[in-house]
Amino acid sequence: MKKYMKNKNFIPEKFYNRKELNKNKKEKILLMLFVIVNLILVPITTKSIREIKTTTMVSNDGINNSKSRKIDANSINIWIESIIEDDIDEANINKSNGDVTVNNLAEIEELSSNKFINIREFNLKDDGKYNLIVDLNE
Amino acid sequence: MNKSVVVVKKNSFTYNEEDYDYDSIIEMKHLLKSNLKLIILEEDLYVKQFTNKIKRNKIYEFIQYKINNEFPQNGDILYNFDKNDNSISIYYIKGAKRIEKLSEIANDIEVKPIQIIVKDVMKKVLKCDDFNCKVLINMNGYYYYMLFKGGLFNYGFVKEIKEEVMCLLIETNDFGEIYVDNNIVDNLFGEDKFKLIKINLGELINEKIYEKQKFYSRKVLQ
Repeated sequence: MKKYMKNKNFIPEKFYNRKELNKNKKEKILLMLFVIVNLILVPITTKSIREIKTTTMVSNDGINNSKSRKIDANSINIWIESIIEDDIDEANINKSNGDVTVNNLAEIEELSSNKFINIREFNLKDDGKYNLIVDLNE
Repeated sequence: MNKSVVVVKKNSFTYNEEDYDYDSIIEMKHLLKSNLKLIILEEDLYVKQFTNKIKRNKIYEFIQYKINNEFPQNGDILYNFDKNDNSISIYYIKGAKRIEKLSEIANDIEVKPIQIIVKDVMKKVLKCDDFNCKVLINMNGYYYYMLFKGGLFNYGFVKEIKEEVMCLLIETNDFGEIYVDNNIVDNLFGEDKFKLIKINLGELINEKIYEKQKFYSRKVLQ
């Protein structure tokens, strides 16, 4: 858009005034449009912000869950002292419970005497070994 | 060209080689484009120079003050200004009412007195920004005498009768080299005091007014 200045380039004052008036009108219309667009956009923006917040909270929950799934260092020590040091063929441990495979009844007795271990079940396997379902006595 | 060129004269105006009087503007307005180029003819251009040292941000204020206090205020005057290194030139010309009438429905306008068109043409002809020269042309029966200094319009007059032109030049002792349009006959000046340099100004002025592009070179000075 061509710019006009008062008393410049032999432009008549009336024409200059008319252009200024139109310019002001256009500016007002633009301002109104800006306000209207903003009024439309504000609820959408607020909604988006809320959604983002919720997503963040959900992801925070995930972090907490993963934290709770972590195995305590004390539990690891107990498992090592109680089971792994013994003459145990195989052990599958998940946090505070698991299953262990032992060769004979003497080892079962030894395990049952350990105050940190509870034997929940035991099964005789085909190969003559015993499979015990155990958990930590916390 | 995406604009209408209107030649504004004292009692009529010309558009597309047709002459109209100002009372017929309403009937012919629809013929004009919203972008107007208005060329003022038959009017004297005046200039006042001020050599005050003014801060850049105060120039506009200074010009408004000067126009309001030292220039005619009859509602029919158009103004322009130029800023040089150490001077400000304020130009003024009659014709505001006619231009206002013509630009009533226009969106964009460009207003140029013929003297400013001649200045632009001479700048191109002499290939110099701060040229000094005197020019005499004849357009539509009017003589336009112009003196340019430092590439700016400095002084001039418009006369219908050639004897009046002569008288004024002799009165002001304005002799020496003078660029004259081809259409001014040789015997215009019986005086030897003038050295006339002929130039096809009329054609160059028309090119400037109608913004015609020329893609060939030709001899300008005769």
